[in-house]
Amino acid sequence: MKKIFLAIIFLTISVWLIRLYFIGNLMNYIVPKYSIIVLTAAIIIGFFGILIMIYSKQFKAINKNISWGSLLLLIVPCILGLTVSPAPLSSVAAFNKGIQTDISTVKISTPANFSIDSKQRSFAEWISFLESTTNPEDYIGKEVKITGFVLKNDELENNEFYLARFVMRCCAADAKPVGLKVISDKEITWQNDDWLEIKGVFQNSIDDKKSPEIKLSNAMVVSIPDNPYIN
Amino acid sequence: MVLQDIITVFLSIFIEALPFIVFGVLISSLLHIFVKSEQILATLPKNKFLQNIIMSFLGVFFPVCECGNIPVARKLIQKNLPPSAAISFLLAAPVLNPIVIIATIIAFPDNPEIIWGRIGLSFMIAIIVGFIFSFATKDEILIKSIQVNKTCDHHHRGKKLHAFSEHFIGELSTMAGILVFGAGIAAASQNLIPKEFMVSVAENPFLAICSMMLLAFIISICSTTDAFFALAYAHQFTSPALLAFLVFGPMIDIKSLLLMQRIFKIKALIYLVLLVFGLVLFSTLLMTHLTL
Repeated sequence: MKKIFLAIIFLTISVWLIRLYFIGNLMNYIVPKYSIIVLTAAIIIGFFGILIMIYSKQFKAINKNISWGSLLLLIVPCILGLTVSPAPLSSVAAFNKGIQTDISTVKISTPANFSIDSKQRSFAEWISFLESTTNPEDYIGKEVKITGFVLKNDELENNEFYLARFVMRCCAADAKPVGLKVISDKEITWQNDDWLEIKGVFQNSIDDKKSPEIKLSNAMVVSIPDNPYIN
Repeated sequence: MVLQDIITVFLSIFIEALPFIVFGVLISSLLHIFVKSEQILATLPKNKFLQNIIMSFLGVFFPVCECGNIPVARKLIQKNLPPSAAISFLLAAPVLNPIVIIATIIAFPDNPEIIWGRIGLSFMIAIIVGFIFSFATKDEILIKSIQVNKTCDHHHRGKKLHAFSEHFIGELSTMAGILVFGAGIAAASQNLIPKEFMVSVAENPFLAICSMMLLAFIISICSTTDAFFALAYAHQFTSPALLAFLVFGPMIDIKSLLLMQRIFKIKALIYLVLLVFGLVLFSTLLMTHLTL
């Protein structure tokens, strides 16, 4: 009985992870560069799942060595993997962790590219660029086109919001939100967690921290990108 | 939304940590079947202090966490390894091994003090505690049954592959089960405990270090994966507090105490827990004051 359960658990975990790898949803959970080790582990687990199925009779010690407790615990990720559709962290987690608005403390691993046209820079490239530049003229007045999700709280005026992304080094456990303040002419109707592609221009808001604001010119709702995090 | 975030963090820790359990168990199962413990004992020097040092490094060859090492230690003690050397091995091996070090580097790429601190402190504490225990007699440390029992770990030819698979499947299920438990606690506490409360605990070095050790003790997560778990607290807690978690957890937790009481007397275990607790507290508090 335990053996059949275990074989099903192993195969479910394996198929779930392999599927996540190939449809790209693994990036909701871990940094892309580590997905290959997850795939390798998933294949090994699947192999042993099949082994238990085939040689079920020979594996006598399994019934003795494995407790129902471990089996019950292992069913949890199986059920969640099968039923929950992968989603990135939400605004609730962002507010609980605290939004970083001072760009100089973000420490992102994407390299800063100084030669690229400002409109071509992604959210991650902008953060990395803002982090490394010391000259405000490098960004003030420059056009931006970036994608992120909306964060609004009571401290903001009703024509302001943060366009945010989570910065992830390893997995969602360490993800921290970084936000750029966006200012519109009109009242904001988007809600928290709406994903937007915005166009605008950087303007100065520098106290002594590095937190430039974006004057909004245009925004449209988009679907969640393949990699919702920046690394 | 909160529930969704908890599930995302839970699955994220589970997915990131699972490969390290798989690779760790794979290697430990290979060694379990193909390496004879007599070969290790034959190369050991007579000097007890040197024994402690060498046994601390044995984790390089047994790259598993606590649960995999305790049966190894039990077997070695039955083959006449001094208990103090076995203690050094049990305390150091869960950290001083390649898989755990790689996992720690992946989890904390920008914190060399955590990577080196973890390696250095684990090594030092393992040697000191082993050295202290080398003044006690076998009767004081070991339970009676282990001193008489001799187990047969002889594997018959042709059955090695079978024994390997069985060992792998058993260990993997147990450790992955504990990982589910630990990842669940990490995900829930990260998203449910108010930030203000966490910050107020984290701001007091003594409280922060003690609560991180208590957390490590309760969740009993494997050393191959505890670095990913600690990440969940890296926003609020300082490096010394995270180190206390990463050094204390692999040495002492509920799960390993349950396994160790099949080798050591309760009194010896109490001394062991107090010694390790004291040393980790002292060294991490010292670190806090040095870095301030």
